[in-house]
Amino acid sequence: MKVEKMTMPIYMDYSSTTPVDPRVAEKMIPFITEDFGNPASRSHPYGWTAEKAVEIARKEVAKLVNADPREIVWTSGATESNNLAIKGAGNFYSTKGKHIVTLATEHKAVIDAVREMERLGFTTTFLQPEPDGLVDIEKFKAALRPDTVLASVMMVNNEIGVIQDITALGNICREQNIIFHVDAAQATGKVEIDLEKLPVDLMSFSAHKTYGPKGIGALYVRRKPRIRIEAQMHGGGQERGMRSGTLATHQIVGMGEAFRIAREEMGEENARIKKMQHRLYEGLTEIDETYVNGDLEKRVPHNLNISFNYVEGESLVMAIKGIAVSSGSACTSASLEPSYVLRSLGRSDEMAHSSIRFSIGRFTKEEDIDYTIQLLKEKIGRLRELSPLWEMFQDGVDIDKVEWAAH
Amino acid sequence: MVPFIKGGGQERGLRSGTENLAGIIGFGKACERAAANTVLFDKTIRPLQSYLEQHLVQMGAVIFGDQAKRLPNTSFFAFPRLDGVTLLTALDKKGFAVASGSACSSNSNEPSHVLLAMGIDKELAQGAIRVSMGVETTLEQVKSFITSLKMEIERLKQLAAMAA
Ligand SMILES: Cc1ncc(COP(=O)(O)O)c(C=O)c1O
Repeated sequence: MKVEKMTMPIYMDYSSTTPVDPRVAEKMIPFITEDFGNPASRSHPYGWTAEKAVEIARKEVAKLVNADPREIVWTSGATESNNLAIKGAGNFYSTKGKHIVTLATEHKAVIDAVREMERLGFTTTFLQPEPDGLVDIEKFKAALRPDTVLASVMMVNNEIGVIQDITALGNICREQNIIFHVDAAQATGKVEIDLEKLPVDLMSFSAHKTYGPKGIGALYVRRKPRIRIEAQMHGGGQERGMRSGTLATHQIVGMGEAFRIAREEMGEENARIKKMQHRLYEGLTEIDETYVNGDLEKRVPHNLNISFNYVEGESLVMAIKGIAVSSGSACTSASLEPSYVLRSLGRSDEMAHSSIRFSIGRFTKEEDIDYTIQLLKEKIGRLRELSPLWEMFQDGVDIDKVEWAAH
Repeated sequence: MVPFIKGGGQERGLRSGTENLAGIIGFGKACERAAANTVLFDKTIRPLQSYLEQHLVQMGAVIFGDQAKRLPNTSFFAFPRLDGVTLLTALDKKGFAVASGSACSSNSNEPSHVLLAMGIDKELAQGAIRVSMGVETTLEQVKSFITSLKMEIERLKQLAAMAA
């Protein structure tokens, strides 16, 4: 099957995935064609070359988050890392207790892995965040019980970009001897991560959110104090038995290079992206009745999630085909369910449906921002012209108080 | 099946996680080529395997599974009383990348569990060497491999004789 090339919309969906940085792609190619050896092959230079490349990449990944390379375990992505962390640590330490605490706004990979633990006899608490998307530290503390064995809180939310206070949450877990897992898939290259200081035991990463390839990720597993996990994937015993399977050398090399670039350039890059986020925010909030979802300050510069009141979600998405964005998370945007993350913040179904996640990144240009603002202003104006609700709102009718005639 | 990695619900929920797009396209293309070339693969490599194995047998090698239906590209063999690792190291120095068994288990110096399960004597299994070829392997390479192997075996036998 051949997919026809079409004129592509402007990419404003960096939180779904990022393009592979050309420097990363270039670095990967020789490991597909020439240095293709199996890193586990011990008897010849093909294997040695591959193994060396894998270890250099492991150092680069470790360096971005200030960890020891021996604490990095390769996986196929953050989904697998989350599953490995939650099932692996939950099961290993299950004799200590069988209660798990997490947030209602976690990525599905955490939520469904925790649900899976319920099937295995664990009890769980899904904490609702505050309306700004952040979890209340006291409420978190109150949710912990003597039999709580594991807590899992994401660093950066994929839909609204808010940054949780990982230090405060981790300290509470430390005090109570609870394993703390953090999904940092959306955080690398956007937020400083220093695992020497952070009280975190397990942390998940994915390469493709940070200009690396899809299908490769890592799990950080702390060595001091040593955290143990039960392997979920059994076989050849790679990754010290924690995750078997032939290592994808070129993918790993790509992730290493992507994380090296992130470490070196994130300071300058985030300042530039923040300016564009501000420009986008200023432009879009000139439109009446717009509501930003999630805290504006404790948020990565790459994300702006806005609900446009009095427009119908689906028509809005259809009207702005010139830009590629998400409404809700990409993983669930095929369904017409309102985003469970926005619902958790207390947004109505309508407001959740009429929300757009704009996410920008390394290759976003200022013209893209200006085009987006123009497009939204024009289309929302037109959609509202057709909307009786908007007309009533303009006339000062409080729509929530209208008693609709029954049909 | 109960899904094993849960999350975004990709692959009809059976295997969540953002798809390895480039990898999948590569796999598809590789399968397409493999489907087109299966016969060719057999035709080009089977004669190389026969040639190699004839010489190996002349040199005193035991070829594992030689009576069974086998792939045309893989020969797993051992020389009685010759250590596999020593031979591998020597072959590597001469420019041949071969293995003592599967790469996944090459970390350990244990003899192949596959050979043991086949009832092969442990000592013989310890000497196992796996040669696996591809469509790019040439007769010249196979000949040159046989020459090097012969020289190495002679040398190792002499060393053993001197030590005895
Ligand atoms: C916060 C978060 N966690 C986990 C994932 C899953 O990553 P992947 O699909 O690469 O396994 C994603 C992205 O899809 C994410 O945004």
